[in-house]
Amino acid sequence: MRPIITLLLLSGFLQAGELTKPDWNWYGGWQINSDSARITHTPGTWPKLIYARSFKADTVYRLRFLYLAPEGGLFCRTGKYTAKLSPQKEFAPVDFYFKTDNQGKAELCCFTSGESPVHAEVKDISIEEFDGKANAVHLDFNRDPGPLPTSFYRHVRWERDGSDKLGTLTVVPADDHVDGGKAMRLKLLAQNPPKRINAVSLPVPVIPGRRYRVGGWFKADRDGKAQVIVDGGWEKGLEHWVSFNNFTVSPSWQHRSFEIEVPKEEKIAQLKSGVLTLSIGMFCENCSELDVKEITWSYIR
Amino acid sequence: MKFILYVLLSTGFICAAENPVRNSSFELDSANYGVVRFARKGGGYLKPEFDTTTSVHGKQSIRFTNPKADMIEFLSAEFKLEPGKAYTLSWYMKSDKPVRIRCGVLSGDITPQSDAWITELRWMKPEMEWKRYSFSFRAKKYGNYFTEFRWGNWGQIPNAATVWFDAVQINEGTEATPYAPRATIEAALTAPERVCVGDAQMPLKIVAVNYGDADTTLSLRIMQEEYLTRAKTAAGELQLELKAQSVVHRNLLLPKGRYGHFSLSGEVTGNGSNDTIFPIHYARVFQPRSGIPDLHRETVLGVESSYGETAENQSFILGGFRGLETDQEGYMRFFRNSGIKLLRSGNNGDAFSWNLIETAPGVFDWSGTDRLVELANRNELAIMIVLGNMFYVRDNYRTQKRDLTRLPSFVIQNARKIATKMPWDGILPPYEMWKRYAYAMASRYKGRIAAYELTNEPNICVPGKDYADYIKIAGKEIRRADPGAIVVGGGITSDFGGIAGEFLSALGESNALDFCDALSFHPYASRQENSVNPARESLLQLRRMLTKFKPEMPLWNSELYYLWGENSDNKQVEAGTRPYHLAQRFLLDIGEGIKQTMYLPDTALIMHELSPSWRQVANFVLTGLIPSPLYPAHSSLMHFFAGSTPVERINWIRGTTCYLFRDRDGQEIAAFWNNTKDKKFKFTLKGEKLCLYDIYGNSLAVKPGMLLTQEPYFLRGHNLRRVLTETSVTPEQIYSITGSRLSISEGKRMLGIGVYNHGNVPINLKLRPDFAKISQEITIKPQSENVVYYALSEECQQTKIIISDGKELQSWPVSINAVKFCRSHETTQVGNFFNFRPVMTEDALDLTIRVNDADRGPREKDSPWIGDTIELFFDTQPESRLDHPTYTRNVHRIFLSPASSNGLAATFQGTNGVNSTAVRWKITEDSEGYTATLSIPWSALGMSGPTQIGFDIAVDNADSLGSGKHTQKVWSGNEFNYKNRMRFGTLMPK
Repeated sequence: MRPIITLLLLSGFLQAGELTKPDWNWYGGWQINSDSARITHTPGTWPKLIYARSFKADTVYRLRFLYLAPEGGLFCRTGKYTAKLSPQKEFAPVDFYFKTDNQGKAELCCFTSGESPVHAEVKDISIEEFDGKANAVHLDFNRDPGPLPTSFYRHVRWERDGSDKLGTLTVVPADDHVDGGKAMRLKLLAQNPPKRINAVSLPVPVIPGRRYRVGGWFKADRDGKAQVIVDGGWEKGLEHWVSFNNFTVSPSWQHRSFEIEVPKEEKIAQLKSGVLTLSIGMFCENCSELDVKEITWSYIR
Repeated sequence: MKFILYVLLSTGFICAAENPVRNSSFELDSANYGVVRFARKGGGYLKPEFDTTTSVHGKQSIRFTNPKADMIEFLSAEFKLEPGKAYTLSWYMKSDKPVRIRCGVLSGDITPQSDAWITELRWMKPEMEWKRYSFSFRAKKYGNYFTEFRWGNWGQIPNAATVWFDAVQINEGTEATPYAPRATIEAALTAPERVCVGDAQMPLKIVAVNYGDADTTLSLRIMQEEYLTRAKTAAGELQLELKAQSVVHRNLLLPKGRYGHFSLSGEVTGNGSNDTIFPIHYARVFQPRSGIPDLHRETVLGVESSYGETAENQSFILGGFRGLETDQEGYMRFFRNSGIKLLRSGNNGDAFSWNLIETAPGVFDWSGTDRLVELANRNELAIMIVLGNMFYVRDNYRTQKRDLTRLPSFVIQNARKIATKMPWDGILPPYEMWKRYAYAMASRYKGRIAAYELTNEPNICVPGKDYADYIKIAGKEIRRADPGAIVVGGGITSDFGGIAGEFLSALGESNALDFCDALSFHPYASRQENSVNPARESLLQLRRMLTKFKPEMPLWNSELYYLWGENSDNKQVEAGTRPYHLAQRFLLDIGEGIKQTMYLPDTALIMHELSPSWRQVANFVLTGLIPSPLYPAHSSLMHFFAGSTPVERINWIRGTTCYLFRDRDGQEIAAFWNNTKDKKFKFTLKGEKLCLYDIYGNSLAVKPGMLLTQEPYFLRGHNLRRVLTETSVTPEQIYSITGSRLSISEGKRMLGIGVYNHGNVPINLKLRPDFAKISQEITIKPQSENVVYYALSEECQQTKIIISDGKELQSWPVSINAVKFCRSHETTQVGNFFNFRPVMTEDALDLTIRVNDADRGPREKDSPWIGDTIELFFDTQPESRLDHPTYTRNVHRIFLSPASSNGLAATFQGTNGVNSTAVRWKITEDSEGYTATLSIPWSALGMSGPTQIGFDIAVDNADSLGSGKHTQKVWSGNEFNYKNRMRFGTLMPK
């Protein structure tokens, strides 16, 4: 066993299947089995499951796990980024990318929050170094049990009061795509639509000052327009970098991709975090549904 | 009523119930009318006159004098009626002596329910004073009608009466209303000549009439539309002062312009009303070359012509001339200006009919043929006559017994008749009569008739070995009389199911081809490159067949009526024939080394301008020498390619064709086009000082990414071979699904899906049928097909293939043909009728077939499927070319027949591609039926060993009791196995 662990450690793969101290710490009611952790949230508390060890400095890692959260209320923090995971009634996979600081530190934890009791469970956790130059990030929906995607969520302007009044973001079958599987669907329901609705991704890794390609398959209910936004992140007082890439869509699946020149971190400080987000938008003038598959974020040079 | 009529006329108001007949009062002379005169031999063309001494309405009536009793057809321009409504046709007429006139309206509308003509005709006898005639009818179909009056030679009784007409009207309702012209103001365009040669300007005449009581000013706007580009340009605008009750004429000259085909139409407004001007058409063509071509050396595009001499019963004037507003000299001049240099005559019409020439044994009346030969020579046209017309007698023409042969009666009486399955019997004239006639014709016209084609389409009339004798006789006599004449044998057709192979073999084996200078064929079964039987493959096959006997013999395509399509529906094919059909066929022929190409008939170069909606055979409504869009195409093809020789076919991607030639001056010239029905391509030429032309010969700017059209482009320049091989041709649709085929692999049912790469670089694709979960990735080489397999657990007849090139997804519906499977060493029962057991060894396929049929019936020797026969079908590459359901070179057939009740011995026949001599076979008969055994070496089928193979078996059955009933039982496919390989079953090794 030891040699394997050594090998795994050397390769940068941290199989944290064993949720034990001191690697992990927890409080607030988490029940730990050997490879999974379960919580029944009590309103007014903030139970946390924290990864306690440090990492290599200035390194990008991928945190991957399965989670179950039928009522929602489960959050994950990686570095400075906190994501509210979408409710899932079956175990759903999720990936998070984060970059450590120059001392190898990055906060990594799961917690629940909210004013209602919720149940959540996480398992099959793995943390590994991620070579963003050699490996593309694939955001696909084939393994999402649905109805909500795990890797995208509705933009705050869309979600408003959290209801589906404006529209829904779901995972639907994509039998008419050559790869079959599933797609993410942005669906407009409002009578007075806004200009567009957007779905935002979990963070993806980025090296500032380099070129990347973002692409995916798109299909709409009618001829219209959509967009892919690459967002460097907003912070008060700092310049906000966003790349808008608009394109036409039609009722047939079409692949669209764009080359993105990411600014240097000296120019856009937020990019020091080593991650940014992607956003898929549908212009509501003509379309009321946009299906999306196989979003890929890949390094060019 | 009169007052209202006056108000309507004077204000020029066109009311809803207007008379749709244009120029109904004939004040615009003969504008918007056509007059055809079937004249007797030697007769000219008499134009109608406008008689100002007598009229019913306006200042003149139209008068037809007819001293030689022509059959006259007088037709109006088309007008539209509302289907289902009742109308009344009325007109005024008179004559100077009693005459029967057939009067009425016709429509050539076709619907899916009926394709018969629509006629509303009545027989009338005009009196010596003006009288109004009328009758009512209900409009049908789409309501496109024209009026027709016909008289002069009904029942073959000449009638020389002079007839006048005036005030023709159609009104709604069942009663004739008072006559009113179409509108108070009418205008028309006329042009004395419709062909502009070279840089000549196009003279045009505008004629307008004001029927009203007030002077008016007319505004006319004339537009020109170009056929090829659909570009519309203003051709003229003018104002005309028109006094009340008067007519005005104005002449106009259209400037020199592009080559091609054009329509002129327009609008006239005046006094608050407006009307359209009925379109007229013209063509601009190249100056035709002078001199009669030497057909030994120079390739030209010819046409079948009867010189306008009437065919069959159309005119009831035997050997007469159909005058389309001109005499025969004018007729020939019209065709000469199209660039025609070769006329094929003696097939249709009365020209060069044996029965009109040899009126009694050894007695010749050359008057008709002298005139025609002189006419052709004077117009610098080479002539090929079809000697002997056709060796047939049409005894049972549909429901009537009519003898439509053009063979002399004394020939028929002494001839041997050959029964055929066609609606005619074949005729074999006595040898001496044939010999005499051939010598007489050739010696009379020595040096003046360039070629003699020895009858038309003999392979559907008479056996090949018999026809061979006639070639030898005529060939010898013609060479004796005129050594410079070209003897053309064959005339082999694939029309009416004619089969070339065996017929040609009979000619070759009998050495008849030694007496010919060329072999002619009619490629009806393979008209275009995208035909089910592709034209090019058919030519290559014909060349291969001929190579066995006479490898260097020139091939002449001496007849093609249907230049496109698969069926033989005259109406549909005619209406849809486009200039590019003609151009593609001619260029393909000369590109493949065919020495001469001819199409039929010459009237394809004429359009029925007055009845544009006519969908019946066009010949019936031609009224004048109006060039059709094919006319300037013929001119352009001759201008660029007459006398050219093929250099090579440049291999571009599938769906496109490119040939390189040397023109008659030795300069390089190329032609290329899109040979598909529906695919799109773009091309980019790479080279300098290139001159590109469209199909009509207009110069084009060379630009990148030009659309490759079905209309051929012509290209001049230097180093064209390099230019063309470096030309980039890109299909719009880079890939396509070709089809599917079921197979079995390791016991599992699989569906093979064919994908073809139309481009010229490899492509990576991903595909998945909708019944499968996982997609497969494939890389296909350029211009190649890959077959991808998926396990198919359930029966289904259709699936959808989702396919992606990484940028776009497409969804292709695919039909799945149910096929059967059998395995080596297994016995398969087909009903109670027969069973078979294949055994695949390393060396051969051994088959045992048991047929439970004790009743032996008659069999046709050359058609074994009509009789008791086992038919075997093999496809050695069943999973290739899945978009090609017809036979490929990998498809072979074997016929194995027991002895028949009509005395034919048991026989084995294999089609081309089967090494029949290597096959061992035996048939054993017993009281219950017969058993056939065969041992077919794999090499006899072009295979190296046992493998999965497309296979089918059909057993034909004929009864001895003479019921004529013939049945067939097929194991996997159906009755179309003879032309469709997609339903063959599959034979698998054990």
